[in-house]
Amino acid sequence: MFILVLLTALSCGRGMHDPVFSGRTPRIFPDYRDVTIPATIAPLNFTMDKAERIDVTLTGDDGTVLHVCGRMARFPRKAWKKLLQANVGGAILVDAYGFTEGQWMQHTPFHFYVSEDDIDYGLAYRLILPSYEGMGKLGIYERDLSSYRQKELISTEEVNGCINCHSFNQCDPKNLSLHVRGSYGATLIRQRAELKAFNTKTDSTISSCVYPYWHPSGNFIAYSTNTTRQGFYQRAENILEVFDYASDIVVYDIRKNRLLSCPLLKSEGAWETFPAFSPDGRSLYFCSATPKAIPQQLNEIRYNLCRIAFDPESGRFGDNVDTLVLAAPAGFSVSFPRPSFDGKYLMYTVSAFGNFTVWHKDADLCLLDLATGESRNLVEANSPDAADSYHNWSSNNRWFVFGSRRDDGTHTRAYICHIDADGVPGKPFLLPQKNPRVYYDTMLRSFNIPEFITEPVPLNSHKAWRLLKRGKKEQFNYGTDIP
Amino acid sequence: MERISLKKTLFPGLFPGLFALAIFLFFRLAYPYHVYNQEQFQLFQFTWRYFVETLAVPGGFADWCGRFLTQFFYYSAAGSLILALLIAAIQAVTAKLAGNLSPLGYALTFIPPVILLIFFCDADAMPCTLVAVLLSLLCALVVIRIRPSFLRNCIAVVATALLYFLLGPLSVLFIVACSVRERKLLPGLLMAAVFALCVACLHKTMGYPYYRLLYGINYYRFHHHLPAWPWIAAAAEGLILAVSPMLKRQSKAWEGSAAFAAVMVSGALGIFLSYDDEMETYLKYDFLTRRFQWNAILAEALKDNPQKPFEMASVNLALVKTGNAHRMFDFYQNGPDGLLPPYTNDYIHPLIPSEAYFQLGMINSCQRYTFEAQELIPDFQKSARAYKRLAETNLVNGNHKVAGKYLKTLEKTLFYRGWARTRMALCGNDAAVDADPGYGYLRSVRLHDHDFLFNRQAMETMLGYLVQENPDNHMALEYLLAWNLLDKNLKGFVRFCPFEGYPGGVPRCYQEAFLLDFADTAQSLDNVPAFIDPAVVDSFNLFMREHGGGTPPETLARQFGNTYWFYYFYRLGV
Repeated sequence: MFILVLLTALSCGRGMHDPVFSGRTPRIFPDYRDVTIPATIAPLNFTMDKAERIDVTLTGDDGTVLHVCGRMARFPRKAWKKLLQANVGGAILVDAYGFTEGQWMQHTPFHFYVSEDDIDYGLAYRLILPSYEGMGKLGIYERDLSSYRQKELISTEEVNGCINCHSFNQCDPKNLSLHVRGSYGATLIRQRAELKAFNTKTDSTISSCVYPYWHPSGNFIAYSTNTTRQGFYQRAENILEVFDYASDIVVYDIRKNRLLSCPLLKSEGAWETFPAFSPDGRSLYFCSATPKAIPQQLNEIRYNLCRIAFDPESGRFGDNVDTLVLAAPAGFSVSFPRPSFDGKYLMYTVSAFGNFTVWHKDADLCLLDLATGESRNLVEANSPDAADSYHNWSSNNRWFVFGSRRDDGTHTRAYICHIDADGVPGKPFLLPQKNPRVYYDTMLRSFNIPEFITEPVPLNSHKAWRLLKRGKKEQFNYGTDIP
Repeated sequence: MERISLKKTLFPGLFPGLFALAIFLFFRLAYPYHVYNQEQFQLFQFTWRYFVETLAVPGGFADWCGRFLTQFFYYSAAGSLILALLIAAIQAVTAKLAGNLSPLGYALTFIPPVILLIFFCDADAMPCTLVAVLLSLLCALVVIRIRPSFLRNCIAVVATALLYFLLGPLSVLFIVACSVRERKLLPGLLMAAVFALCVACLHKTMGYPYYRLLYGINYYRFHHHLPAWPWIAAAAEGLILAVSPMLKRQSKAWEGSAAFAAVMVSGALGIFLSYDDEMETYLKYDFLTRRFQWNAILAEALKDNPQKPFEMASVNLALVKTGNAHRMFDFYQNGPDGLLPPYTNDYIHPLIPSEAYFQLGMINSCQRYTFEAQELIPDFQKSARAYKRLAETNLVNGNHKVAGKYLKTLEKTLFYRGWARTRMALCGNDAAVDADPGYGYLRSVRLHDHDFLFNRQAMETMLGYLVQENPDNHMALEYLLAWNLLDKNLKGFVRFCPFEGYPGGVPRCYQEAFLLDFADTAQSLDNVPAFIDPAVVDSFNLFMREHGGGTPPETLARQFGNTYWFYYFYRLGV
């Protein structure tokens, strides 16, 4: 430790002299300038474009100072934590100098704003290749947000296949639904500390159950069943498109092992997808589109945001569907509705058409105020020319995480954003890494469906694979015998 | 009985040398494309991160060494030499461990390396296996010389755990070699217990299933079907070491020679049976395509007469690239699949079609095929070849940041560093990409106006758009014509074929196709267009007479085998 301190002192000591003022804030990667961060976040290490060495001083509102220098700003974890804890609700001034082509440059300082709002323990996400048909190695991982520790929960290294559609109940990882495709395909559901494998395809549904969303009671999971295909564009601007030929919505009653639905959710005249329960469990949000011919009218498929009543006691659905966002006539499409857990807002993604927005450069996040019915584009969080989608709320509704391709246009990265009680977001920040430049330059997989978790996910990969390989799967029953 | 010393025989010097030379010649002359193939499905990087990531797996050090050596397989001669030296070294160390063997015993030490050689006839055998065996034996050779015995046994026990993690389960050879030398039960049992403990601990902590921890994580490219050869070799190795005290008894020189001959003959038979001629031929076309050796492809095709779609895709690409598309029916054609084969879900076959798409200017399709091939590499390694191509497709498509990521990684390699640096100079500079002769051309011939989802059933339309948007894309036109010919779509062919501008006249096969279509609609052939050679009309009349008269195809093939008419009526292309 002494040697480390000595080396740091010496390297910084050689340091900065006669700086020239650039008159602008520094160009850093990741762009952490003026971001709002939780007090428990891992150090936001960063590099500065074209700088051979950088010299960074963090000064908290309370006067605490943290000084680092080197090829990148790498903050010692303990000192960082102490600095953040001492400045909760305040700001940290970041004064950064860069040494470029024999000259030190002084830049306009910027801030880290330390929020008073807590953030959950971590994130769970799928790391997946940003395309095509072959899956390569993919898996579900969890990440402790207070450190750089990432743990593999389950991956395809052991068997060929695909793992997708992980979902927890309002950030509580004790309730888990996870779908596995391939030779050992099944849906794993963990509830009340018991992990079970299910065959979710029935004679009455068009596919296995995907896009899960837990009912707050933990007794139901809403799924959609989709006939999904993908196609590959030929021009440089686009790479591929994922689309449905058909889709319905079902709700799985865990206690009675039966799938529930109703004609309004299985309509021939509409494609229903992306179900999400309201936090009180009495409504089901979903997206619905009028079927079109594919591929001729692919660009005309537009989904509206809808809602139907749901009675958890009887398992009955309402008799009519409300349209909350009538997107199709306005020339855009809604996907991935996610209500905040306090019931005030609903966040969704808009794009010109379709529902697989991760491949749509125009995809943006929008926030619907459920009290007023007004939507607004979250310009503070969105990027102008890259897909922003697959968002999820933190358990206290003060943070949301989403996937964005703003880094390079191809690989989705996880961004975390603060949002205040009035629904105003701060500037999002990229999931921190120990050496972000090397990490994000060499990580050629996408962060898919990032979701907050309140504690480590209690999933034993061995047990899960054993369960899948054993092949003993319980069968979902499609039942309409509701009294 | 006359005492025969091993040193009095030729074994220690000559036979191992001959053995190594034979292995070298085998890989260099009979199996060079398997050697090249090993290299293209890895991306060895000189970075600490790569080292640590590779090492973090049981057997990771052997794997890292194997990958380090495999990068030199970029040159087949170097790869052949490395394989020969590794395999021969295993024999030499085995003999050294076994001690002063009789000629017969010495001859038997060739058995494990011969088995490993048979294993390496498989394109998915990993050089890491050889490293693991060799290092296990070398470590044993060092440890058994340690004195005193207590210290030796302590080191052996500790080394057992270390070697398992570094070399994988083939480090069991270390236990066998040490135990045989020790001739005491306890140290061997202790080492075996440590070995078992390692397996159990790694199962628990790292989550690998037992079968992989016991077979070896990286000895074979696939994880789900594992050939027995490495473990047959290990069993033979263990057995020879175990019975080596008995092999020190006297034997006659002829017994040793006979045993050596028997091992070599058996090995040759094993190699003969394991030799994958089909794969070697495919890999040859793949390699020549990768290196743009179009004339060499055609020369090989004249010798081989390839008939498989992927090989024909390479031949047809070479024909088009050399301006010989009109000669396509000089070769066996097996339909549109032999021009642009359908996508296959594996890591080898999509690469030739991806090259064709790249040359055509269908950059997205090339990118898709390349990406898929790389991601389907069964051991999840990356491919230097794929990285190069993906950097190029992203440069052409203007995705400079993504291209830069691929190039940065390639800059960390030995053989691709220079290439990557030259491309890095283009990265972020669209004007420079436009000015580059290769990439600039590809940018110009890409689709700019039309966009659609790839549909192989609509290949004619897709190629048609390429030609329509870029009339200078001659390759797209040749492919469009070839596709229609192979698809037996005469109307499509006639619609797109210009029938003019050919310096030496309209190519004969185009005339043949035209005539076939013309005859289908016209009353007679008297008023055929002027670009039809009268000799072709005569030949057509003769063919149709023979064809209508029931002449057997074999007889027709002798005279008309290289005509489009023969393909149209007798090949099962469509």
